[in-house]
Amino acid sequence: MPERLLNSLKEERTRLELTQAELADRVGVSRKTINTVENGVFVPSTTLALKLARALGCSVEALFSLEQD
Amino acid sequence: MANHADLADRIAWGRARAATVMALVFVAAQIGSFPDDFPLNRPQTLHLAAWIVWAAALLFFLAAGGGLLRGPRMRALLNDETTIDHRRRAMALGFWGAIGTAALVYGLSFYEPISAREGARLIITFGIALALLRFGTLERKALKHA
Repeated sequence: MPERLLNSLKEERTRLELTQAELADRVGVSRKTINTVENGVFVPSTTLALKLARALGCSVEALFSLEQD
Repeated sequence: MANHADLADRIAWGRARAATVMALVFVAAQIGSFPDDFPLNRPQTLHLAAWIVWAAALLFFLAAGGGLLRGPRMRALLNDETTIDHRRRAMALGFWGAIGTAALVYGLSFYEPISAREGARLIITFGIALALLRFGTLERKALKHA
């Protein structure tokens, strides 16, 4: 069974009081991409995961985890 | 900065709707013109050229993704990771649609004489239309809650 990727993007974003549009602007993607990553619909590339972590001031591991972990 | 995101969203919505509408119109036009066929003994250069240009334009729309005249930043927003993923998935479905249509044309040819031209037209039409429909659906779904 494929492992599901969980993320705390929404929690981290709201902790910093950022809107989806603001975070999208920081990492240079569309709001649609932020939304689909937050909802677990889209699995981001390593590059985007690193950019998201940097924009939110946390590590990639803090942002993303595998369901079985 | 939100203006950039808003504009990108609006353009992406338009693109998603356009993809769906163009796919349906393309299929409807081909189905409508099918009884006419392109008989070998009648010059149909204009009709054939129009169809080929239309098909090529739709493929370009699917591959390029829009925002060509809006600068590199907007173009990047309109063709970011999710869009590239949607395009890839749409093209994969278009490929399978084309293969499926080719198999149907092959089967049909045992019962009904079908020219290579008709067959190619069917395969290309359904391949492109399926890809566009899938792209439009995926984009609309992703944009719904953004």
